[in-house]
Amino acid sequence: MSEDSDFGSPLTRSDVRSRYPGLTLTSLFPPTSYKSHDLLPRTYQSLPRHKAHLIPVETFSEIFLFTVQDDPHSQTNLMLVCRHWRDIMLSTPGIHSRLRIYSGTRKEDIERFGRRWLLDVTVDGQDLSVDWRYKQYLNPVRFHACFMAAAEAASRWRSLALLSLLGGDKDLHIIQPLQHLESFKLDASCELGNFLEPLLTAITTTVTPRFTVMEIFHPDAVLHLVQPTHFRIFSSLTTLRLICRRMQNPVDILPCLHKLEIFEAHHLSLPIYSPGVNLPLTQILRVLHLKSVSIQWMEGRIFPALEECSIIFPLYADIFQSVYMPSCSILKYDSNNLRTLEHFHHPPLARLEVKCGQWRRWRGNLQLATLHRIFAAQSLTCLYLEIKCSERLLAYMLGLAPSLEELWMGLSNPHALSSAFLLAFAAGGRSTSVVPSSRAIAPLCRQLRKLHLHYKRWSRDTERNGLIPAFGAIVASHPAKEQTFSFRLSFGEGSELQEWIVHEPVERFDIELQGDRTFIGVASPHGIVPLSRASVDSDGDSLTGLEYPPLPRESEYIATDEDLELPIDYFFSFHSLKEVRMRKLDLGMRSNTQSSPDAPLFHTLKVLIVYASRLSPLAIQTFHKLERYQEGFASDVEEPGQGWLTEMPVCIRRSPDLLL
Amino acid sequence: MVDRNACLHTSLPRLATLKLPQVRELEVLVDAEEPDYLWEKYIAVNTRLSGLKLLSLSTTGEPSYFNDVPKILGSLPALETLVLYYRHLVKPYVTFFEVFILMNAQGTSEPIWEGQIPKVLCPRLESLQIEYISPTDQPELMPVLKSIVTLRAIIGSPLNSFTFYDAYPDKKWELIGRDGSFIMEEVIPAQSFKLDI
Repeated sequence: MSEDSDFGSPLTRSDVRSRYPGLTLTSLFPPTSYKSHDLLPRTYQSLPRHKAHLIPVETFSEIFLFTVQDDPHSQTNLMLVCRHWRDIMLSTPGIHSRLRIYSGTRKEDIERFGRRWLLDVTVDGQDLSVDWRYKQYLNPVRFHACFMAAAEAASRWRSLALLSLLGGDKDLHIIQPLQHLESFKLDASCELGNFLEPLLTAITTTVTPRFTVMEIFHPDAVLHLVQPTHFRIFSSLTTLRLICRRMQNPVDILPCLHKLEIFEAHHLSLPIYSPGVNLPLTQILRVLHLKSVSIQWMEGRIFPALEECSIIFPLYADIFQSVYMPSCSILKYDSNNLRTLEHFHHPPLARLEVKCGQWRRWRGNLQLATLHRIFAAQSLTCLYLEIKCSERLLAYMLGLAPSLEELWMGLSNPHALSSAFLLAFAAGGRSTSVVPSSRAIAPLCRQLRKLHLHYKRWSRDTERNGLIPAFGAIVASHPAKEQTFSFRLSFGEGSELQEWIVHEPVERFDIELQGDRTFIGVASPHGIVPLSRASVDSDGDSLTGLEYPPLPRESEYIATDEDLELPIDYFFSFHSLKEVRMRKLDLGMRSNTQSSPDAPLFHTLKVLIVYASRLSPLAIQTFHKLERYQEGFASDVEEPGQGWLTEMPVCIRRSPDLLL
Repeated sequence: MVDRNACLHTSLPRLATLKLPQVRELEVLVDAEEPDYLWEKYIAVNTRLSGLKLLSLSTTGEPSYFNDVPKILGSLPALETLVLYYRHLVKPYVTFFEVFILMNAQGTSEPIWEGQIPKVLCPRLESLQIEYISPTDQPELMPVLKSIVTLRAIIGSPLNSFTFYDAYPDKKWELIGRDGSFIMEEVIPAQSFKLDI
């Protein structure tokens, strides 16, 4: 494959300066040269015309190329100056431009790009960010035409990212050689259909040594590419990401990776390598992420450039010998057997992420103990730890990491660590009435700035109530004026994941709501401990996608400005709800729900603020402790005297929300 | 979902469906016909009005709904704070304010004839707050307001605070000085009344 002479090495700033000493864009084209441009201020238009138009087109091209390389945003600005400049820009070879093909793209849009430009192409036919109003107009035929128009310029593609295609018509093909392709990314969810074969054939047969980045998250494509006949394309890669399914046969790919600096692989089956086999990547690899991949090949080798190493569920780890990583500062390891880490030789680490699946405490203790050497180096500033172990051992190990600034701990359930242990994270070991002083643990991690506790299971009994007051005490122990300490609590997994920020305890729960955050509160000896989380994402959509917001059942206080419609029985499961401040809540009742006079709500609620309420079905209910009640809009109100009364025997304040 | 920014329509009938034997502070939108009827037949029965210390009344509907307000106030002997939102009240307001001076036995502000025993509306009233009216744009209102301050003090039901607040522009005035005399002093910062829930 010959290279197009139009697309030589990109100009550098020094190239231009050596060719044109003293030349700058503004010296060549002061504002007076833009006279013909309507958008320029009138003061400029009145100035004398400059002779910039006398400069040869080739010189313009070189300057434009340099300018765009220096500042990609200048591309549009230069094209808007005048038709002459626009034509020069469109004919200048080597200019890079982004071409995004999505459902709303038209063929004419594709044809507007310069015919000598290099294109960074992204194809996302099912782009979810497209305004829903346009989705009804999704047209596979038009999308196909756009893609094929772009494919006519495939020889000028610098990068290609295939995120999704549109429609059932996969009769796509690429005829042009991909001679300028440097990067290719294929998303896992991209259904290629019949296009898989021609696409990968085009890549494996026409790319040049320019091809340096390959990210394949599509298992079928990986299987196709890791055939020995295609190994040639791997030799120029500096970045390789392969996400596979479990493979039947090993792939002897490592010897082909001559220039690889970043390597990520999931479920890639590798053969057993003897120490004598030359693996060039070991000398230049900077970042290594492996999941369910053999690490036997690392045995006895030196990785002088490796800075970041992540190994999850390693295969062939038991037969392990020493691995030398003299530049590594970030290590992540997830395995039931952490003893392998004893064979990793690295300088003191700044960041360590360790997860161990042993579910018995004593087994976990043994695993945690193997990390002693790493902790004892006293270099850790960031630690992610998920090991079931005893509090005593954990306290000892954390005591070896006095510089820790960020700590994330994965815990199975609220019993995993006691309140007494957690209070050791209070700055200065502040004493608290939450636990007897005899059970207090010496202060831990005094430099801590970020603390995150993640519980896999946040159980449904009251065992958690002792924890949240402790969380509040930890936050309160850090001076608010420093504003440098943050404490996050999360629990659940997948769609049930909830993440909360723990705030300093307050006397009253009259939270000033900020944005779309939901606050809950739990009473503690130090006041009410508020926790908050974002209610909606940036588009205003619910974060959880659930019909009702998942709030912890031990919440005693709730405050949010989120638009919600909830049935009253949603609150029946809260066992000690005292205040509900939901100024945009439309409170109703499901037709098939029986009102439950014994629900804790009717016996605990003291403050109720809603936007609208349909309390008619609750007419026979009594809110025994409700003292304050506010509604902005009353609907479904029965004719007075026709229905039963809703009783609020101790209510002293009642108002509609006049300020809504 | 109801538009949260829509005009408010909290009905007085809602109050009629609640049994509030201990209520002390109440904020009600009056937008039902014959509010005095609802008040007398249902609310006065279910709610211990004799203990009501604070009442905030407003209307977003017909100004005529406020015509019955004096009758409602007549059933609140313990009221200490009264807040009235007059956003839709039609000028002039003189007639309305006269009821706060002295009433005849019928509970109206008609002239008190010789031999009648005058009574004062809400005898324990200490704070009267009028919202969304500017006293400065109605000179004819001033004598009436002064009479309210002066006469209530004479008969032993003095107001401690008598304020007007208007949001357009954001202004607030206090009509009672430290010595109880009638004045007109701007209050800074100007803040609308808000019931602390």
